[in-house]
Amino acid sequence: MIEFVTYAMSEQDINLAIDAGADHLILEDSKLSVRSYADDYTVPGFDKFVTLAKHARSLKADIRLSANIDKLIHSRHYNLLDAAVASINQAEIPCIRVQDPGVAVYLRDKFSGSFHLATETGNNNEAGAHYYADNEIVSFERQILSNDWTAAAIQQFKASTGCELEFQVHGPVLLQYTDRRLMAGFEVDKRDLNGSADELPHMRQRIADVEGRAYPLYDNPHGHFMYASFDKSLYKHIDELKKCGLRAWLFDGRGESVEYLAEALRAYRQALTDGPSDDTYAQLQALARRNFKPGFFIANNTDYVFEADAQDHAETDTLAKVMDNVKGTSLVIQALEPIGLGYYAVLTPEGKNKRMHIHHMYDLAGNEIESCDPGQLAKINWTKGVYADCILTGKVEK
Amino acid sequence: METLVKPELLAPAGCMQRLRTAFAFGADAVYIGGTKFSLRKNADNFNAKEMRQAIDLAHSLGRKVYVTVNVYPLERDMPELPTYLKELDAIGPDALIISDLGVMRLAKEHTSIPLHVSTQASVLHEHTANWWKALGAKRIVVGRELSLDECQEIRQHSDIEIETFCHGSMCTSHSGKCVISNYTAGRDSNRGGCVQTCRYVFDVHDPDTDAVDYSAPIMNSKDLMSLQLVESFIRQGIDSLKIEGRMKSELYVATVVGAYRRALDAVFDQLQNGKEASVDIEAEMREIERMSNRQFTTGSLEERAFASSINYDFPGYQKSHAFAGQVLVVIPDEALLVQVRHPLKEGDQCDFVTPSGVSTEIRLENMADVNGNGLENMPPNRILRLPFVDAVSPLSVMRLRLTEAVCT
Ligand code: SF4
Repeated sequence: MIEFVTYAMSEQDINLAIDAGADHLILEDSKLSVRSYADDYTVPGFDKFVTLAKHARSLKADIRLSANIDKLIHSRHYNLLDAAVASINQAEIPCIRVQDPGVAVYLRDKFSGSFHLATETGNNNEAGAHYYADNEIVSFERQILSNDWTAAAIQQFKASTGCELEFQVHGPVLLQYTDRRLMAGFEVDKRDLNGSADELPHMRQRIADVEGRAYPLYDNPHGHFMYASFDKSLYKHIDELKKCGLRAWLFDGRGESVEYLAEALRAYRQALTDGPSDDTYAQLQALARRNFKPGFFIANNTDYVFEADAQDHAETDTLAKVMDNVKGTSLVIQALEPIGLGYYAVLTPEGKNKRMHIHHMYDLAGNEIESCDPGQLAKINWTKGVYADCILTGKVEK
Repeated sequence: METLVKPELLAPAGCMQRLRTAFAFGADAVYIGGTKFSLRKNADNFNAKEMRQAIDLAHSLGRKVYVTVNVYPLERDMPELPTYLKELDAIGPDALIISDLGVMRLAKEHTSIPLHVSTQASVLHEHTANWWKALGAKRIVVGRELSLDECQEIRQHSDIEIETFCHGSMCTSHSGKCVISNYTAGRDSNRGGCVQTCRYVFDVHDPDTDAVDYSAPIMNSKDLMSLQLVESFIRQGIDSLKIEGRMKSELYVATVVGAYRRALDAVFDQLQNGKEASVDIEAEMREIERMSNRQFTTGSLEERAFASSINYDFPGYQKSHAFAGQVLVVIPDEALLVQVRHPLKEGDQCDFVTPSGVSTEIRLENMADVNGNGLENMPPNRILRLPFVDAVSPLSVMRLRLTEAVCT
């Protein structure tokens, strides 16, 4: 059975999520959950975990629960971790979701449940996922794959592994975060806001217009967060999604209306058996603030062209580089390999192949020489079409 | 008297010339990228042969070379990785800088090269540091969100080398936690393709009214400078101070490495041997400020970075001097041969900065090409012959004084 996972910060969230078919709730307290829209910063302690867990179980006895501790912590937060884990244990929450592996290391003697590794850890490849799963220090029962994975790669991965995998299927996509409070900082720098980054309350979501696209921004005491200009939606690709063999599908509705999240949970649940429907998709889209896109799920072609350039460089054997060109008179080269008189293949910066004949060579004091050692400069006879930044790639026959 | 250890000074080397420059101006080690699996795709980077030459040169000088393999590779990149790692193992750099746990696993399997954990891994406390240590890391490059006091806490609780950034451009985000380029430009920031969208001016709207509340480069971090904190770095037992900038010029490498070298040596000598400090830190900072910059901050080294670390009014890069060129050859008592990097003309005011820190001003005259033919203007990417200047040695950098400070 595929688990439907979502976040819940309040009893209202829990009511709607369970009613809409969630199987697994990640409970949030904003003191340790970096992207939470709850406002628990000044509420002492983590009794909230106990209250929310009890409430969730009263609605659905077998609901699976996790606590979110995805903050990148500093040592000054250890006391918060201690308080949180005491409440998590009291609430008998069996799982903690972390981003920083060191948090699991810190908590492993205080908590006997399992750890799930958040998507922000950058779980991008099989070797890494396996190493987290079989880690000799602290192992991670489940990993939430990064949004960079394509369907094909997940399907291939799943076929070769026993790792328990989760993947975000719907909701806003986090693009960036920093512990610098960029919007609060602007208000402090330019307007009349006063206070430190730790003290100032969270700010209302804003929209950044970058080259005509609208990116949501959020700023809270943990830092600043920028989201994609679209919401990720794999609803239309549910058949591909089913083939991925994922243990859990993550629905992230944080910062959005509870109705939108509930509708998404219901839509995917129904589509699991009936397949996607255009009407349902349109209804869901109508509740969203941004258009839907599948992100990189269908294809991830980032950087192919640049990889080809790097490959060229890796395979190019540079004997010397041309440093100067006095038209009709001389060239200056810097050798990487010993260079003597003779014929050479030349590659121009534009990728054209030429050849040149070095029949005279001088050091830069003007003394005639027959060869030039690595690192040294030599003045040679001029050759048409060869100029600064061309490279000599090999010796050739006359 | 407390026993202090002088931190290693670790410089960026985007190409062979910058590597030579870094060593000449006092770097103890450099970090370079290969043609694959490195985060600065636009740097020239080193293929296998160039890497071998770089390492040979470094070792002949008693210095070190670390190779970055600090991407977060996608699954499709992984099949090539074992071959590349075996190639690196044969080349023998002094360390690999890695971020991704999958890369670490394969590096342990295919090489015996010591592993440094990149700042991309956001190590912020001793438990994460100890975790990496237990997995086999020799060193961590701590997250840039860490203060110096927090570095010292790690030092007290972890038997792992600590490297921290001391200078250079800063990613506004937690390193490794930004994929803006992936979604705005089809370039993967965690695989070397960042296009720095964070430097743009953003129109920030009120979502209810859609009115533009303000327009500002709200993510535009100032550059890190911590020359004034060198004493703290030494006292707190930081093992290595890293300068950012594999894409930066020879002038940048020379100026920044030279300034930190002099500061480290003088302050260390003062602390260890009670000698009077022979360095003017403020003057060194002014030298650095002459080069292109986004204004400076100490980031989070002293306290959590906030409003003053962002350049909300960014008018452009600021500089009073431009990189004019670098001395390639000195013909004693006769001539200097300079590789030119900026258009120059007769009468321009320039100065040379030598590896030993001496600065000599000149007015350009008697300019000639490499063959001694006189000329009045010289374009970039050519070799300029100038009359000999005493004390100027090969690899000295030449700066052009701009008639007024500019923003670009
Ligand atoms: S866009 Fe800016 S914040 Fe993001 S990775 Fe690039 S430099 Fe860092």
